[in-house]
Amino acid sequence: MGFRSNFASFLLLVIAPLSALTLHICVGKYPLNPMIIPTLFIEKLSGVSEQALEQLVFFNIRLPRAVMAVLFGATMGVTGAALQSILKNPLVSPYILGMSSGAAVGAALSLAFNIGVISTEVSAFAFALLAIFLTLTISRVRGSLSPVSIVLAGIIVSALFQGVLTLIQITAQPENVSAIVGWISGRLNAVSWNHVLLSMPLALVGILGIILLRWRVFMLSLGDEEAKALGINVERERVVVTVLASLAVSSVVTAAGIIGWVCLIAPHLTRLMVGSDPKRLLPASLSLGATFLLVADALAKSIWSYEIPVGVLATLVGAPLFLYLLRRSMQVYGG
Amino acid sequence: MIITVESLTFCYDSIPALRNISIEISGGELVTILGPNGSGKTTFLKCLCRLLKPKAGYICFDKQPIWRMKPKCFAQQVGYVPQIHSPSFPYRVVEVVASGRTPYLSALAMPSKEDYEIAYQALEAVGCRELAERPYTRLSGGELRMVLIARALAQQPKILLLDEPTSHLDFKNKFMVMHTIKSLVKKGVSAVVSEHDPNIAVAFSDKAILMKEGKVIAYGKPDEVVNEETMKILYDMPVEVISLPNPQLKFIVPKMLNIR
Repeated sequence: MGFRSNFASFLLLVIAPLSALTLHICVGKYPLNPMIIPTLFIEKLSGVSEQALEQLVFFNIRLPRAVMAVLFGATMGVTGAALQSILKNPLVSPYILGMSSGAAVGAALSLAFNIGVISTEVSAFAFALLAIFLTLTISRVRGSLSPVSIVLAGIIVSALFQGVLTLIQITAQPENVSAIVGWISGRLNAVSWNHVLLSMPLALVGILGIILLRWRVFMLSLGDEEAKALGINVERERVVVTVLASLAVSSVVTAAGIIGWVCLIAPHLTRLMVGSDPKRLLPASLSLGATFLLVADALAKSIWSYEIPVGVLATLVGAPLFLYLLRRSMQVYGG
Repeated sequence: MIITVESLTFCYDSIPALRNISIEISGGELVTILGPNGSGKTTFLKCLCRLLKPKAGYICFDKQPIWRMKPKCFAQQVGYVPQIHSPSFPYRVVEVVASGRTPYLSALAMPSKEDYEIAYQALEAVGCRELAERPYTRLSGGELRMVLIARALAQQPKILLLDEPTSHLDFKNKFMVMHTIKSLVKKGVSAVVSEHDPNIAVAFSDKAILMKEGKVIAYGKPDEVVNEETMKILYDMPVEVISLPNPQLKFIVPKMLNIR
């Protein structure tokens, strides 16, 4: 690739999420003029509040929601691309490791039985970790961890937690069931700064860690024997990347529920745009993941008279888009 | 670099694959391993490149036991070309070749400009410079083999281990691959190659190892060890050795060819 196409894709990867961010912040029940955003910041810093309502909407509602959308989208883009690479399977999503079902069970338990001392977030996060721990433990066959066994173990653990989830929903009170369904379908409308601050540290550690390790991720995607022959400790690197991805995904899912498709759309769109070059795939997936979720959430809060959960909208938009991307990439690269 | 193998034994679970192999391979030679399917050729190569850990015995490179070397340090000296490679993602060919530079990179580093330069040179050396920007999921079998050899070259190893580099290749490409390996050996690399066709072994190699049921039954110059007697033992099939005058070459022809 020449300098010009490098520059063009760089611009796109910076401008696209920034425009999506602006759009996301400004649309909603109470539309904001993007021009006043700098003024709002200046007023906030100097302690003046001439536009009190705008300030309230911007800083307490729009900004945390937008930051959460960026965190969630970026996490899903990066971890989706990384796990597809290290498990050598372009159809893998981070959810296959079971942490989403785990988180759902955790949240459902707390919502159904109103366990006062433990918040829904803590419970969801704890069960997400439990699910991943189970997946990684049972995928170890004779001391080694192969891509196929990780995927199979993830499916088994997911199924197990899905069963538990159904059981909870059957036994729970009807009003709690609707809260559970709402949590599972994934939404960003209830996000506060607390959610952002809770999920940010692990999400950032996961994203940055994986991006720093991107050459290793590429090596793992070539095949175990070959990576070994090139001096890579395959087992260790695969566990490191999987754990980084799991922690990041668990922490954002805990805050926003299960929003699917970002993790499939972003990496595939990225491969079509910048190719499979390992140096670019992960950073570009970060940018496109954030962009996709920002746009989806902007639509979720503006196209209907009431809010559609963004998880539902992402599925409705994501499934056909994914079909299109798959067909395109088959045309471009062959089977 | 001298490879010393001393009473090497390897078992898959309880099934022995290599039985008490002792052999010394001197540097700068092309050595082919001949033997029927399941005779232990691949297992032997995998032991040499540390993908399999032997149950007993040891392997030394220049008197240094290979299992005492650091993985990175080992990978700087030994390049391995696998028998089967199934590409997963449409990476550019030059990226795949540059992955051969990994043993020279620190944990978080990416290959530098110099590393890519070495990758391009490696492609040049196997005559595939023009493939550099192609997605490697779109290569033919012969091209893929050459690209994998180029990656092993980018490792700048002292020893190349190739597992059946001529399998699945057409009549001409078999010779092209062996020719390329031979020219690399002339530049100072040692190569150990497993091979199914005794004629290719005779034509190209400096030494031949004949393996059967996990044991070495003969080792030496191909002219000396490949003959009617040894081939009969190796493949359980009567053969005839035909000598060609110009170029001076032996040809092994199965005696079964009277089916017409």
